[in-house]
Amino acid sequence: MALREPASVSVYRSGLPGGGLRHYLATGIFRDNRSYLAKLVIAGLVMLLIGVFLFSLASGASDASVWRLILAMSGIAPDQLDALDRIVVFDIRFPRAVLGMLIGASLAVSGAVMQGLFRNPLADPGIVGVSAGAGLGAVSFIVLGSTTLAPIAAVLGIYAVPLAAFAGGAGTTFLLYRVSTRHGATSVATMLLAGIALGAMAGAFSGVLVFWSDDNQLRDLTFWGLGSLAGATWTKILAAGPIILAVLVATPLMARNLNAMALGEAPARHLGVPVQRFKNVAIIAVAASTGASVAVSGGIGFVGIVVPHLLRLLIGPDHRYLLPASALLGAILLLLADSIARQIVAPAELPIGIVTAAIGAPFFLWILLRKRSILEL
Amino acid sequence: MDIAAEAQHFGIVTMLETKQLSVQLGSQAILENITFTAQPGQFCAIIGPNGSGKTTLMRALSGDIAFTGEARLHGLNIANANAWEMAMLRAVLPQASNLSFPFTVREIVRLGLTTGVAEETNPSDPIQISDQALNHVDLEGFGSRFYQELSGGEQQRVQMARVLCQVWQPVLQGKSRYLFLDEPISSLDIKHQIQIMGIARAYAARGGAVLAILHDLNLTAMFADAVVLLDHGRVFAQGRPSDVLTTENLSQVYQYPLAVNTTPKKPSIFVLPHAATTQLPGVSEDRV
Repeated sequence: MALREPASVSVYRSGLPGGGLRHYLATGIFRDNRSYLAKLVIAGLVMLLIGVFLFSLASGASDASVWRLILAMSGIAPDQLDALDRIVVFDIRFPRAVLGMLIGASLAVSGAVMQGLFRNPLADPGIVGVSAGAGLGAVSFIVLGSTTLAPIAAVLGIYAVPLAAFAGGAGTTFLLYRVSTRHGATSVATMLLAGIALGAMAGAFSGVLVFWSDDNQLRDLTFWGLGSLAGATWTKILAAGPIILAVLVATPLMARNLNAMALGEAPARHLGVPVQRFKNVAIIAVAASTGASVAVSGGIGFVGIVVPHLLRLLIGPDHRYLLPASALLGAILLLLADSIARQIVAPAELPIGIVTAAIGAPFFLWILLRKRSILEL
Repeated sequence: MDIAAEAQHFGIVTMLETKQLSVQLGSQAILENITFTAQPGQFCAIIGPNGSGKTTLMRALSGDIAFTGEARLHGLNIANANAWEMAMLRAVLPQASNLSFPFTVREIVRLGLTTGVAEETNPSDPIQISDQALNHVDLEGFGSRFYQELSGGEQQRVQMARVLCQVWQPVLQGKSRYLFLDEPISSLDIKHQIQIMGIARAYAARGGAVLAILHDLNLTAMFADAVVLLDHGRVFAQGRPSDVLTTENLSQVYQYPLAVNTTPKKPSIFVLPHAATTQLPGVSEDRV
């Protein structure tokens, strides 16, 4: 008599259904066409951003609640907010939250565009020295704005520091690009190494300026190095916002070209992408938004490299979805980090760069370990 | 050939042609005075030994490197044509491709459809076309796999499907479109070698044109309508396979004694490397 295998084995062989949501994410409709998942994720991120924005308006030392805020803003019960609340929410928290969203979106999108452009997941304005260059520009005007650079500072007014940061970022990017491009082809290895060298040089020059600075300037500079949204005003938003917004609006137009670039520069050209012109435009855009962000908030690290990576693992590398999702998640993360920075040591305040690194780094490592099989493809 | 003749009759310039095309890298001349045409309706093969300039010629014709002399595709000057104009008229299969991010096979194939002009030039449903293209290259059901998970031969066929998507209709607005294939079958098994060659042949038969770098002389003899034999950056011979693939030409260019024979039934030629082994130093007759 032939042995029959136990029922449990045959069930095992025929394959158990289920495994829940993860099963469907890995094998179901989403794997078949990741654009559905991407659209769902983007919709979710939009809702989350609205929630986090309201939370950020409502949280802080004063006890204006989200509920009262919604009632007041929708006009149902305007008297729910008293005068002090009104000032706290609209003159202090509101510009700060708006600035946080702009900076977060700008950093994340800049990272995503640069990674796509250089075809390397390590590329990030923070790593290849663009942020350091922008920092040097800004530090120059903070320290020398009242002396050597006074005539220029007088002409530029409130735009002096952001414009200097922009010029520093653009200059570094241009140098980087020139060094790593030969015969019209950009070498990624050269770019990364040259970026580290340029970043170190910009850091050294900044160091000299810091050495020359007085006590007041030194406090400004310290705030700068660690990054912070404190002191966000509508003036700052007016200075940096238009540049960042213009880049954010322009990036969706780059999505298709960035997708083609994933195949390499020559195949992208064969698909109809004007590669050299596109690289020029994209590099200027990244330099502009990084420069503007660094100018108003200092060096906030980690957002540009973590956010696009997380989203690539979740929704795939298609830039048509990756870019908007990066903008949203970057804005969400920075708002959350700022809420923590404001409250964890209240009434004092942690620099936001510390929070993004302290929370982002371990989380990122955890994701890397879990998803290593995809990353190592 | 008939399509080309017809096109000439109606006074349409429908071809790829080069005149005195030369490429210089540093002080070294890689290509010298290449003059040839690749006609619509034809499968034109470029053959020659390693380092004879085949890939350089392909890169020059794809607009990747600078050259002197003239190269025109349907009258467009390749040296200064727009990327999108060229993309409408020809697709290029690269020799090797590495990908920077984990795209799925379907996403890669659709790049052929989503860039530049594709939507207007492909009348039918783009999603259907990408799946059809995958079926063509014998990769049905591979759509949701990660590209980097596949074997070298499968990756090469995915790229072939992408290239087919880019110029899905062999003729666009009266102009033949070109497939530029750089060693399209180098990583493939024999079945898929013949399949891919068949796809290229059929594309030419439907009014398109194919320009392919090949190393397999037998498949060249079987599928090509025209052959350009390169040697040290110059055209050594060009014309019909039976005129170019001769014992004398091949033995001289490859610097190796090769014998070309004719099959008994259908008059088709073939090259047997075995014929040469007896003349190799150190290889005796009885080892063959």
